[in-house]
Amino acid sequence: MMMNDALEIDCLVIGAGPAGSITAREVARGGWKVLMVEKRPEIGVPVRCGEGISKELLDLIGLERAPSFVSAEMDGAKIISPGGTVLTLGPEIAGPEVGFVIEREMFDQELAKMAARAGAEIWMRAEAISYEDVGDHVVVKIKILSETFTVRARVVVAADGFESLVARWAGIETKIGPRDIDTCIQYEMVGIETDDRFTEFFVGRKYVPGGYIWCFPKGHGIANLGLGMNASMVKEPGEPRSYLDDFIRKNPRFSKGKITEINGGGVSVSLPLEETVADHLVIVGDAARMIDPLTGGGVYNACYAALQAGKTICEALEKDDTSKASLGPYERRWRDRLEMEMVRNYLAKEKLLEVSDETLEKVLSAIAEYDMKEISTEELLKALASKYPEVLKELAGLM
Amino acid sequence: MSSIPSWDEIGCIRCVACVGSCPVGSIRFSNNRIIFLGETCTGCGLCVRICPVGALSRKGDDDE
Repeated sequence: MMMNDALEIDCLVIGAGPAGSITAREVARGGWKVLMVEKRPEIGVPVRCGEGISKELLDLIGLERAPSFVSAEMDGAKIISPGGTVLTLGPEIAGPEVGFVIEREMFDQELAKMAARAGAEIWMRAEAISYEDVGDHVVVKIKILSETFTVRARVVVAADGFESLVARWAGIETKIGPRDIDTCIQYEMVGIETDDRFTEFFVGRKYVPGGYIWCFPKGHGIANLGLGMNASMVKEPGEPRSYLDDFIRKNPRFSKGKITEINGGGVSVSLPLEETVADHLVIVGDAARMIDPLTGGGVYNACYAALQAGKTICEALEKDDTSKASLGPYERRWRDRLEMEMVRNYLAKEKLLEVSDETLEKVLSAIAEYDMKEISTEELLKALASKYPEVLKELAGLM
Repeated sequence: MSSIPSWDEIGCIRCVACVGSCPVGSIRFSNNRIIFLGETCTGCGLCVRICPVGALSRKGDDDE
């Protein structure tokens, strides 16, 4: 049983989302004593996600596809312009980038179970309320209902999401402005017309300024209809919901549907944190601002970084040195793979906030008519140059 | 203190977008409740804009 004396462990993981569970699993597999704490009463609930993942993600994290969490398999994606032009990205182009529409709470619970089976301890309804670096380890107070426990950990993993407090407690600057935050709302709907092999993205100010509306089908006339909108574009309280309601009302494919779930969330569309390690601390996933700033997708990056975090933490524990320098390799390991694309997509996001619907229409129709072999900057430029060379100037810097 | 927004507990979907957006870390989510730590709130209103369902409002907006 837990006692009120301090519990001494090797690794404390704060937050049981994908980043937390995978880090916990990897460190536990290394034979270290791991505790993962989750403040919510149920892992993955409420869902705060469009629930689309790539096929390559499952291979990356070593999770078998199972009907318990996979609702539907996608062939590709369709991007719908303000004028209704459809740009279809089929399997030959979209490739492993598209994949499955999932039940995210079941997915998160699968990952937590993997961590538990690897030997990690899990505490639910357990909220970290304070953090103190005492030299060679960190002291964290954890509150479960009315009881408070003291945990001494050689290394702490901040996997506490977009609303991370742990990084802030450790003195890391995490502040971002409204232009680097998207606010999202999503309905799960039943009784709507979906394209069951394609995710759909409606882009342009006509639908929503500074963002897009998505339709991710789950089969049987069920889909997630969601909206993400740049916070700098919000003029009135509750506007994201109004835009989504308007879109549904005006679209006969969706207007007869019934809402079976409402969820939402904040998403960083920023560059990643400048530093994701400190003495005895590693920051992973949304807490490290690893979400792709163009698409708003975060699960792949979170899982990739978590694998690197797990590996690095095991090495540091082995050396009996969890200082910032010893944990340093984590930075390079995740940035080598993810950072370049994040920077490029950040610039694209910045540009798209300014682009008019007319320009967007030209870009999308040029690409739709051009027979693209793959999604690459070169192919996009060729497509545009062939039809609207003047638009290239407007997009200078983006490509 | 008057700068703290009003929280519509019934209308809130607990997505905690407000918590993560607060530039001064003045909003907490604990025991399924949104808690405003008044002393550091600057009244910038970002949380009100971020809330996707309009469950936050500036105090006074509703009453007048």
